[in-house]
Amino acid sequence: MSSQPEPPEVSSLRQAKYQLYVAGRSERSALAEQNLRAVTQRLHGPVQIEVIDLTRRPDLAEELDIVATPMVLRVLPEPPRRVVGDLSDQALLAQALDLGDRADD
Amino acid sequence: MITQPIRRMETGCPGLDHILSGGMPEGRTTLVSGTAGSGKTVFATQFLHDGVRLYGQPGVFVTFEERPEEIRGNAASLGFGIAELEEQGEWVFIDASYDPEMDEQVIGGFDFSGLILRLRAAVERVGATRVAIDSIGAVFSRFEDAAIVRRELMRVTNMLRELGVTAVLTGERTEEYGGIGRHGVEEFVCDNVLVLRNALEEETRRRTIEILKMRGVDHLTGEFPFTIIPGEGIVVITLENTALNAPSSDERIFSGLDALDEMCSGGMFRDSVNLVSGATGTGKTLLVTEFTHGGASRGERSLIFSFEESRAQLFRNAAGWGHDFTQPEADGLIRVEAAYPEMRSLEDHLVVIKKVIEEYQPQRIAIDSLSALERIAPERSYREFLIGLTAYIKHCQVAALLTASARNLLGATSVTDAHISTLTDMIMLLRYVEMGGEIRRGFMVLKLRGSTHDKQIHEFTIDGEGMHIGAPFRDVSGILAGSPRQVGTLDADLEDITSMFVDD
Repeated sequence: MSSQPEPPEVSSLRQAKYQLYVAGRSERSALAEQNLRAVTQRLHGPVQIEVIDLTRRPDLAEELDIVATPMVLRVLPEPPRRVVGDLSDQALLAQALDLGDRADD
Repeated sequence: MITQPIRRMETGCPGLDHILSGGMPEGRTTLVSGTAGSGKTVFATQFLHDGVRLYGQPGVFVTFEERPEEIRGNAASLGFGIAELEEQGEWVFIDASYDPEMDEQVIGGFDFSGLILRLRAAVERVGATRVAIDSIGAVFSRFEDAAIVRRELMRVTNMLRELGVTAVLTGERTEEYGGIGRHGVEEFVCDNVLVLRNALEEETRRRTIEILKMRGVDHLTGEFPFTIIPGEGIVVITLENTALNAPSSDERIFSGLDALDEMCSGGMFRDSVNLVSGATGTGKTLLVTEFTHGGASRGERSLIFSFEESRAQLFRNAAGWGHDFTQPEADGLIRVEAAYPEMRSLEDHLVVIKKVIEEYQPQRIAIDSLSALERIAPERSYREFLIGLTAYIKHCQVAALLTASARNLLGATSVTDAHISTLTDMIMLLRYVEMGGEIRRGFMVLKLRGSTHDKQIHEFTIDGEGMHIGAPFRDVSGILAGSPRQVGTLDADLEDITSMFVDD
C-alpha cells in the first residue's frame, strides 16, 4: 500500500535473494513457494530462494517477530520487504516485490 | 468431563478470586473485554506478575499492541518489576506488535503458525502455566480478513488448552453496555468472559468488573467496583465473605462516657458499627474524642480517620475538652490518619483504610465523617463503600464509631440515609433543642442491636472537661421532629401521636 515503486535498477544482473518462512509442509506452504518461484523466474540474473521451515527453527520466528505464515522476506535487494500469505495473486506479488517492470520483457 | 470439577487458579487479587469463587478456571482461556482505558492491559500484566510473585508460576506475555518496553514501563509505574522477572527466566515477552517501519503486505490466505510456534516454544522453555495475550483488537486492525483472524485465534486458544495453560485474552469494546466485543467474534473464542468498565457517572469515573460468562463454573454475578493503585494494581472491592459468619461477641466496651454506657445497658459491643448523627457543631467530633480517650484509658489502640480536620486540629480540640492525645499517641494508643476526601476516589479510600487497619491492628476505629466522603462520589459508589467498609469492620471485629452530618440544624431527617442505618448496630443522635429562646443539646440512642437501651432524649452539655450527658428532657416533645414543645406530662403521648400527622 505504502510501497512506492522504486526507480529501476541500472544493472539487471543484480542479485536477488528471498527467504520463504513456512510452518511445516502444508498446502499453503507449497502454494506460496510455487507462486514465489513463478514470479521470480521472470527475473534476469541469479535468484536465490531459501525455504525455511519454522517448525524446525522456532527461534527464527522469534528473531524476526513472525506472526503470520507463510512469509516471504526479500533479503536482497535492499531494503528488506515482507509479504505474508499464500501469494496467490502473482501480479500483486510482483508489485509488492518491485518486479513489475522487468517481469514482462 | 461432566464429573470432573474445573480447578481454579488463584489470580492473587483477593477480591477478584472471591467473585471468581476461587480463581480463573484452570487450563482455560478467559476473555477480558473493556473499552479503552478500562484497565485490560493492567489486568493481563497483573495476572502474570502475581502468578510469578505469589505462586512461582512463570508466564508468557504476547503483545499485539504495545511494545514490550512500553508494557515494562507502564508496569513499573504500578510497582511491577517485569525486567527482573525476565532476567530470572520467569517472564517472557512475545513481541507480536505491529511495526510501522516494517513494510508487510498480505497476499492470499495465511495462518498464525509463526505465532503459535513461538508461543509453544516460549511456554515450554520457561515452563509457563500462565499466558496473557493483549489485545485481539490490534490483530484485527493489522489483518483485514476477519474470518481468517477469527479462525487463527481459535487455533491459538486451542493450542493453549492443549498445553494446559491458563490464559487471559484481552479485547476491545466500543461501549460500556453493549456487545461483548467489537468484532463480534470474541465470545466464540473463549468460554469465559470478564468485562471491565470505566463508566462516567455523575462526573466521576467508576470502574467495575463483571463476570459475564463462565461456562460450567460457579461465580458471583453483577458489577463489582475496583480501583487501580500503585504497588497492587487492580483491587476488586467485595464484601468480606467471612463478615456474616464472624462470631458475634457479647463483650461490652467502655464507650468513653459512663452515662452512655448506662443508656445502652453496659456499653457498646466489642465488634460493632456505631453511628452518630447530628447537625454541624452538635458534638460529633467530641464523641469521637471521648470514644478514643475512653479506649486509651483502658489501654486499647484507636485509629481515627479524619476527613474534616487535621491531626493538629483534632489534638487541639481534644485538649480543649480536657483530653490529652499527645501522650497516648506517643504510647502507640492513638493514631490519626487525616486526608482530604478529594485526595483519592472512594474506592481508593476504602483500600487505604483497610491497609492502615491491617497494619495498625486497632481495637477501635473512628471515621469522622462519612458525610465528607459522601460528597465526593455518586450515590451508588457511596453505598458500595459503606457496605464494603462495614463488612470489613465486622470482619476485623473491632468497635467502630462513624459520624454523619444531619442536614437540618434542628431535628428532622433523623439519620442521613436509610441504607446506612441498616448497616449499623447502634445509632446515636445529637440534636439542638430550642427551648424558651435558648439552644440546648439533646442526645439519644435511637437503636441498639442485641440489647435494650434507654430510649429517652437526654440533655447534654460540653465544657472544658468534655461531654456530660445529663437527665432526660422532661415534659418536652417533638425534639426529633425539630419542633420541641413544652407539654404537660399527661398529654405527652397524645402530643406524640398528633405530631405524627403534622405536615411540614
